[in-house]
Amino acid sequence: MSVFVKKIALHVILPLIIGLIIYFIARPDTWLVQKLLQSRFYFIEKNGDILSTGWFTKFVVFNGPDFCWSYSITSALLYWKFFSSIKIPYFPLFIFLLILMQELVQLLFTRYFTFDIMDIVAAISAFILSWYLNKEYV
Amino acid sequence: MFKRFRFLFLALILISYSLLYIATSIDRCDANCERISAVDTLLKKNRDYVYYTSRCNWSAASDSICVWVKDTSGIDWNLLADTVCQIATVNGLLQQKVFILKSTTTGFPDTVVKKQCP
Repeated sequence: MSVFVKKIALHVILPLIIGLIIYFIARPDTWLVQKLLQSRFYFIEKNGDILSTGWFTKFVVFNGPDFCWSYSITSALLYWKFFSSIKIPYFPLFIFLLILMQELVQLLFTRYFTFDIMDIVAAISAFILSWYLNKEYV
Repeated sequence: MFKRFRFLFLALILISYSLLYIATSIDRCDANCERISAVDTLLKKNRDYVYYTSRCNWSAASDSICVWVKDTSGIDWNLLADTVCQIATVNGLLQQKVFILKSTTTGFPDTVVKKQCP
């Protein structure tokens, strides 16, 4: 397996899978889980159960997927730019704005999304971590 | 090969993540919310002075409807409250408390009319 394939598996695919696992286990109310699993099984029945738990569990359940997926898309776009050999000035800034926008747009669609300032913190942290760990591709 | 189709790859990446993003949405509008939404739609029709209609609070037991309006002269706010009651009743919201509210420069809403629907 080439180094690049390993990198994709570790920095793009794995965070995606971790984010999905968190959703499947703890977020039964989403379209994704209801359509794929039809709510037949999940370990935590209601978000109310989560709300009574500690801050770390809440962070993992509610902000963990945002962290994982922001990390994943940052890595994916950094790899894309590196291998496409296109000169795009300030490309990481575009990724940063994309990640920020995906959180802020939730303010406009409150019926479908829950805006949470901690999601922005998680997304920005993920962006910085991905950028740092993949700096040879920046 | 990658360079030849690089923009296709970029589109695939963005579309994939967008689909994932949409798939994690939740429709939070229950039957109660749908009824309020119907009242909002009907009330805003031909009434440009109505900003929006919502529950005054979103607790399950709430029986209050808040209608936010633009401070406009010549409007009979009592008549508007009656109309809200009629539309609410037609949509299955019975015996609601209606508040017609307008914004003020202090930031606090000013209650123009308060009405208990029959």
